Amino acid sequence: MTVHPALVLILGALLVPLFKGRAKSIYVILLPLLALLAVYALPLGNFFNVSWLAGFGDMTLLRSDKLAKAFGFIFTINATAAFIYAFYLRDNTQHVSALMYIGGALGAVFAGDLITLYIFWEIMAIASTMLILSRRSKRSYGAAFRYILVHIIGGLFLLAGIVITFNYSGSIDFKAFDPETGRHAGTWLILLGFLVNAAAPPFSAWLSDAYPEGTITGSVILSAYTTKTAVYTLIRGFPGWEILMVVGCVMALYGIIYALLENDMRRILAYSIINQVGFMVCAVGVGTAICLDGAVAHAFCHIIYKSLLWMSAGAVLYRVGMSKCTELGGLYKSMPWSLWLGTIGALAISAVPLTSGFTSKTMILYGAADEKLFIPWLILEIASAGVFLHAGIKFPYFVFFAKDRGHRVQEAPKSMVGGMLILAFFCIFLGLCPGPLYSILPHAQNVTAFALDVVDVDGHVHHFTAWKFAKVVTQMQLLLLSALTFFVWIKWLKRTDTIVLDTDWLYRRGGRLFYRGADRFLNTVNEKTHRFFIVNFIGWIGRFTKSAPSRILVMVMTPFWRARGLEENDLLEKQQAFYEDARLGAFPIGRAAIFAVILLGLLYILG
Amino acid sequence: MPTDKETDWIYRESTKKLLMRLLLAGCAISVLLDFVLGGRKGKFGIDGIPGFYALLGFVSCTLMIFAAKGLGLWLKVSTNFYEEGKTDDNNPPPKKNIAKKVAKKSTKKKISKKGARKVTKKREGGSR
Repeated sequence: MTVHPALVLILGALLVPLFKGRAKSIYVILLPLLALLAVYALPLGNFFNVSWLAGFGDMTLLRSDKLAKAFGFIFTINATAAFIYAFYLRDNTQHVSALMYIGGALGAVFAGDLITLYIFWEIMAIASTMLILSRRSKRSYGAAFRYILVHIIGGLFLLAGIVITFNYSGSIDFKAFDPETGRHAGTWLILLGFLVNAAAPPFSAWLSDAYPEGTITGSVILSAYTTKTAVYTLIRGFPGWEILMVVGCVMALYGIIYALLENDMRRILAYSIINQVGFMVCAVGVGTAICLDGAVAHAFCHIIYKSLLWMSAGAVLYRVGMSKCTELGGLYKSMPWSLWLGTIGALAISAVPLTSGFTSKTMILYGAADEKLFIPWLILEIASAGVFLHAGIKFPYFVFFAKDRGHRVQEAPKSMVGGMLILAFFCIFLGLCPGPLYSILPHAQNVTAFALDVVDVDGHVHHFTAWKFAKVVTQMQLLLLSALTFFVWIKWLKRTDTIVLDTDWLYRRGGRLFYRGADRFLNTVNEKTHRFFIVNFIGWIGRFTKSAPSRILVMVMTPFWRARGLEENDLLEKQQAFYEDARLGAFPIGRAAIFAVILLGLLYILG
Repeated sequence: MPTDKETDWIYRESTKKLLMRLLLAGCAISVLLDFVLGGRKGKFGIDGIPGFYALLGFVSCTLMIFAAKGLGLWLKVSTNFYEEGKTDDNNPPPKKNIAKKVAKKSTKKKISKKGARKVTKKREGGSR
C-alpha cells in the first residue's frame, strides 16, 4: 500500500491535542518515524493522480523518485530527532504547526506538478509563521508578520509564474526547465519564487529576521525545511541555469560577512544557513550530475549539522535565557554535552575530515573544478575557509569559552541531549562512511562505503571519493590556517552589543522614511500649488477680468485725449475718473455706446 | 585576584600558549605534508602549488575579517534600532542618541581596559 508521507504528518497533527503529557511527546516522535517508514516503503512512480479542470492536465499528488526520496529521508530523520529534542515541550500550537510545516515540506518535495507544489508551498508558509508566533513575544509577532508578508510575495511570484508557464506550455508538469529554450517570464517568476524561499539576497533578510525569534524547538525545525525545500525545487526545476552560480557565490560570501558581524548566536547560525545554501545553489547552477548529487548530499548533511547547531544554541538559550555573544561565555563547564555535541556540528559545517560536511561539500567543489569553473570554485573554497571562521570557531568560542560571564547553569535536559546525540552520530557516521548517503543520490552507481560513480548526461563516468590523501591534507591546511587567522585577528572580532542592518531595513525603516519623504514632497507640492494657483493666480485672474476692459479703453482713449490738448495732470485726472466710472459701472449711455462700437470695430479688425 | 593555578585550566596563560603552539604545529605539519606529497596536481594549475590552500585560507580569512569590520562601521546599529520611536506602554521609546551613547560607553571601557590591562593581564590573558 502506498501512503503519502506528507499526509501522515498533516493528518496526524490534527490528533495532537487529544493526547496529554508524556503520551503527547511520544506521539509526536512516532509520527515522523511513521513518515520515515512511509518514505522508505514508497515504490518509485507517480501516484494519486487527480483529474482536475478539463484541459489543465492531471495533478500528481505523489511523485516518488530517487531525488524526492532522498529529501524525504532527511526531512523525516531530522524531524524525529527534533521531536526527541522537544520531548520536554507539551505545547499544542508548536507541535501542530511544526508537524503541518514538515508535512508541507514533504508534500512539496513529493509533488508531481506545479499546482500541488504551490498548495504545499503555502501550507509551509502558514505553518512556519505559526512556529514563529508561538514564541509569544512582541518581537516574534513583528518578525512573524514580516516573515509572512515576504512569503506571500514569494508565493505570488510562484503562482504568477505557474500561470504564465501554463499559458506558454499548456502543462503543469514540474520538470527541469531548459536553461536555453525554457527562459520566459513564467519560468523566471517561478525561479524568483523559489529564490525567495532559498533566502537569496536581496530576499534573504526574512531568514535572519525571523528564525532567531522562533521558539527554541521551533527554530531548530525552521532551520531545516524552507530553504532546503527551495534547494530541492531548484535541483528539480533549474539545473544548469548559470545565473544560479552567481546567486550561490553571492550567498556564500554574504552569509559569512554577516555572520562575522553578528552578536546574537542564533543570528550567526541564521546567516550561516544562507552561506551553506549558497554552496547548493551554486552547485545547481553548474548543473552537472556530480554537482546536483553534491547539492543533494550537502543538503542532507547540512540539515543534520545545522539542526544540531541550532539545538546546541537552543539548549544554551533554554538554560541561560540569553543568546548574545556579549552576554554568554564560559559555559563549557556547566554544559559540556551541549558544548561537545555542538562542536561536532561546528566541525561538520566546516567540513573537517571525518565529518559529514567533508564528504558532501567536497563533491560540489570537485564538480565545479571538473567543469573548469575557476571563479565559482575559488569563491566556494574561500567560503569554506570562512565557514570555519564564523560557525566552526566563532560560535563555540564565544558561547562556551571566551570570557567567563559567571553563568552557572545545569546541563540541558536529557531529551535535548538525546536529540543532539542522534544528529551528532549522523555527522560522524556519514563522515566516516558516506556510502549509505551516496547510495540514495539520484545519479549514483556502484556505491561503496567511501566512493561512488556518477554518470554525466554525456556518459562520462566520475569516480568520486572524498577520502584522498591529498584532499584531506589540503582541506586541513585551509581550515587550520583559517583557525590561525581567527586567533591572530581576534581583537578585530570582539563582539559589540549591536545588530547589523540588512535588506529588511527597506521594509522596516525604509517604509517609514518613504512615508516621511512622500509626506514632505507631496505636501510641499500641495502648498506651492495652492499658493500659486489659488492665492496668486485666481486673484490675478479676478483683478484682470475686473480691470482689463477699462484699461484697454483707457489705452484706446488716451491718444484722443492727448489730441484734445489735455495737460499731463488733467490726463491723469481724466484716467482716474474713467477707472472710477468703470469700477462703478457708471458710464453715460452715449459714451458706453461709443465704446461698444469701438470694441466691436476692434474685434472686427482683429477677427 | 586568583593566581594562575586557581583559574580554570582553559583560561590559564600556559594552556593558551600550549593550544596556540599545537595550532601552529598543525599548520606547519599540514603545509609540510603538502610539500612531501609533491606532484599533487591541481585542476587549475595554481591550486597544485604546495601551500596554496594555506595561503588561500590565511589571505581570504584576513580579507573577510577586515571586509566585515569595514562594513560593520557602516551597518552596525544599536540593538534597539528598530524599536526606536515606537510608542507603547510596555516599551517606552529609548532616547534617540542611544547609539552614540553605546559607542561612547564602549570607547570609555576600552580606555579603562587599556589602563588596567597590565594588572589583569594574567587573569584575562592575551586574547589568544
